[in-house]
Amino acid sequence: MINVANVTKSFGETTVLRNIDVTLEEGSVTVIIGPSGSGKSTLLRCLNALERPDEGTVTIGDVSVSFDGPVRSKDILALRKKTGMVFQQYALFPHFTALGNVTEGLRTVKGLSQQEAEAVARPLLEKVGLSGKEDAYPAALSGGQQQRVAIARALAMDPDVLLFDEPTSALDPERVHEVLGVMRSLADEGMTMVIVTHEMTFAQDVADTVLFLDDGVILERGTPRDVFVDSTDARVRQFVQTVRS
Amino acid sequence: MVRSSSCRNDGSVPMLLSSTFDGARLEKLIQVAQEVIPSMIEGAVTYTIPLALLTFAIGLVLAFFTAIGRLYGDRFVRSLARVYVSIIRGTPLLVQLFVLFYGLPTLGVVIDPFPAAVVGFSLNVGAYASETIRAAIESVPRVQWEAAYALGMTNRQALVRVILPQAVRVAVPPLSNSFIGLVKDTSLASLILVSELFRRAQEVAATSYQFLYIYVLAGGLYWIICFGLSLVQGRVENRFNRHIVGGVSYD
Repeated sequence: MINVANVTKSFGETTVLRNIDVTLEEGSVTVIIGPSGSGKSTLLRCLNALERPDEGTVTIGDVSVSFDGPVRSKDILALRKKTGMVFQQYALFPHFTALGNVTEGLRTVKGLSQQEAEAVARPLLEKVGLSGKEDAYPAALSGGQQQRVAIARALAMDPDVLLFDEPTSALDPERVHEVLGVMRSLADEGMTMVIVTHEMTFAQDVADTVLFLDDGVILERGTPRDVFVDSTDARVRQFVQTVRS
Repeated sequence: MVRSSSCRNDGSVPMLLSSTFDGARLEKLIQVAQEVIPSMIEGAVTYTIPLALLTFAIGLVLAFFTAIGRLYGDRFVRSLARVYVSIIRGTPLLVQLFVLFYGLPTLGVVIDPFPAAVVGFSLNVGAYASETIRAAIESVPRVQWEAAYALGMTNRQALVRVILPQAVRVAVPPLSNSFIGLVKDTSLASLILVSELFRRAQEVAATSYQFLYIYVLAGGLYWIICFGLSLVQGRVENRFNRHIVGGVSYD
């Protein structure tokens, strides 16, 4: 279970998140949508403390971190070990092969031997459809392939939840389906996922819960149908219409 | 000989140069060369090259910690690093060497020429290279840190495993330049009595009066050393670029 309680975040004068409260069930897929600048990515990044909330509490499984006072870096690390993240710009390590990218966290953070790490990493690369690409460096891979390596890299750490920050926004349109396909099958396996995306069709098909964020506030929360079809909020309806057309 | 006479018959060659190459002069030049070249090579092997290698190694260590201090230190460490870089970059290397070698004895600190040169050049390399290293570390995209943190890495793990390997690739060309500059700058050590390549040249020039000839020979020797280094630089760069350039297919 993921719980976000009273999370507030400002950058200088700008308040990006205002007292966010939300609970996400284990095994659920949550899609966060909303206009740009609404705080979607910031909320996602607060879940693994890449952004530190100014106040509030983030709980993932048995790790609970309160940001109301000083935060111990030990707690931040514990929170990050519960989460895996996939970035818009892939952010693969360019000096490691595909396999090296997936084994790196296992070796450095979990202290596994190279052999043990590869035993975890190879099946994951196969799972994302990249067996045969183990020894390729990121520069030799397409965007879709890189993003799938990034998913394997995040999965390798066996996180409680996978966070996706606009995972398909940087991809060529014809590559988007490769990545969405992998995400779909993860959802089918019951992986807990939180996804910031503009792929409305995907959200409608895969999400259990859709959060509509606007100006740092959750305006609407419900099933895809609740948000995309039945919402009574004028701003939600307008946004949905705009992205649909 | 043949060459000198053909020069004299060629009206396009200036008189000064042609008269320089008569037989007796040429023998004298060969004699001077036989004296100065082995001496310069000895100076290079015993002082110039060891001085450059040693101070570059010490300087890089100093530079690394200075860069880290400036980027991630607390306020005190940051200011300390900034002041150090500012002083070294803001004063001439020659002045620094003179303070160390001719100045410090006034305070009772007497340092031999070679150690004084090692200290002076190391401090110099440390300051300049720290800026290169700092820029190289900062050139690595922020999301690389984030990707490392997202895996649960500590600051140190992220720096060592993810950031530095990428920064090295960026730092190698400018650091190679610094090293080549350092090799040439070691000639300044002649002024604090280190018996390196250029001082050997000066010694022979002072007795033979063949200033132009000897200093051009000295320059040639520096050039040969630096040319060799630039070949090494190319190999090192290729090594660090192999995943980046080698990974891109051009076909």
